[in-house]
Amino acid sequence: MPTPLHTPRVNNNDDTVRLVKLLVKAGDAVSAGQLVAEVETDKANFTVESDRDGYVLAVEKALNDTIDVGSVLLWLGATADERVPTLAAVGASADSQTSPEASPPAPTLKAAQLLAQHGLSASDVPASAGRVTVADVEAFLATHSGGASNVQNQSSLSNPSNASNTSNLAIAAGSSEPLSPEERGMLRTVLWQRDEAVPGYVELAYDARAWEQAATEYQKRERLLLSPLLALLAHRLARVAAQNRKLNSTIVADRRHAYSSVNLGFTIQSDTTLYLAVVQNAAALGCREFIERLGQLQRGALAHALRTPDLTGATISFSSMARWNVSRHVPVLPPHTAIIVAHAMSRDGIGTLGATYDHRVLTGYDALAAVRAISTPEETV
Amino acid sequence: MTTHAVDMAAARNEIRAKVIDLASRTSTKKPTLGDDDLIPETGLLDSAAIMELIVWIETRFDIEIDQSDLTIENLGSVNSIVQYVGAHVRPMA
Repeated sequence: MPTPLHTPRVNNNDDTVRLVKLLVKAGDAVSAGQLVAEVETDKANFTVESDRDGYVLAVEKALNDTIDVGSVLLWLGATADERVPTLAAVGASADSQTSPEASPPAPTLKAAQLLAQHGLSASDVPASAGRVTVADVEAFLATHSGGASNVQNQSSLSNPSNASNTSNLAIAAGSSEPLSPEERGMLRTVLWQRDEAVPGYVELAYDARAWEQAATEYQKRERLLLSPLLALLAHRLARVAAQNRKLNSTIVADRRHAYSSVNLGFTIQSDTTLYLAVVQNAAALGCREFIERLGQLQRGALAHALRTPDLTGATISFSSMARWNVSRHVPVLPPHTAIIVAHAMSRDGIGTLGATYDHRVLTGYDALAAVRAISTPEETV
Repeated sequence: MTTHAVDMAAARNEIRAKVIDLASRTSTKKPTLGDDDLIPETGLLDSAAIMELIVWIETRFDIEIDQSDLTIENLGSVNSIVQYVGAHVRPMA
């Protein structure tokens, strides 16, 4: 069965990339992990790997094309003679985990509400990006009888610029300019939280001295150059998530999707770019392994040299703004995660740990229990 | 080891200046640093800044620093950094 290889998201801030190198052509045999292409953003180049053994059936993009993250880059098949589906028939999606022959993609929550309002089902509406969105429903209604006036008020759900158009506020004179790739990426992330998640926030004051002492002792014992405090906190979060499947879950089509491994996203500010670097299978790593892996990612981010697997697949996240003496911050949830823990500065031995959580997945009690568990180091640290 | 020659006396000054520069970004006071001072213990640089220093050393001197080399002994002070860099490049005669 033909399988699409999608253009990867290389970081939260870029929703397009440029195809700068094609390493395979139709008919080539490839193996899992083999490099097939190279893409670039404003900041860096990233390689794209085949995710399976097989044959390249077709390459959908041309060299130097600027291409959307999530669009089909090329098709792979188990044999070289399989027929390539047309993109119109299957959509082109980063989010879709379904095969071309699977059932229609699930609508977003607000798209589902709009569908219900008009007596439609998700299968009636073509999805432009893997899931049926409000914009897809609106486009469908616009090209079919009736409906257009009914959806006018819904426009603001999918498009923030529409929101300003339909408001009663006058817009002062000024000029309009396009968003940078970083700004577009951030917009996309915050819109996932707005349109999909139901965010809540909890916060806990805790005795930060125990953690600082544990980190200092660990650093001395292991002769580490860097304080391992944040890495140890993040590792603790990964281990707590491994023990509580709800933390490491998201909602897909009204069902809880529990991830099979804990992939920890860790925010790293590099110049003006904010990366969410991902330690894959973090809970399975020992403390020292985790610290070293996170260190590699931090160095990669500072050099703008992270690869696709370093930036994808977060199932849970950690963010600290303590180095800027921030006493409280409420982070936005990375897409398809249930919780991001926020670490802030401590004063007089009292620190603050917060968490933004997806209330569809977790209760405030769940989130607080997770934060409380993280607030004390394990005895084995 | 890289093949280019490095003036180690100039390298020492550059490394010290880089540490001071990184420290200045988060400190309101003018930082001071002796070449034997253990940088992590001075509190001048937090972990992110030390990581930035490591990436800068790699780029500036065209060397690769293995993750397992990130120890106090190897890179904890200006003197140890100079020694580490000297062991990985060809010092200028």
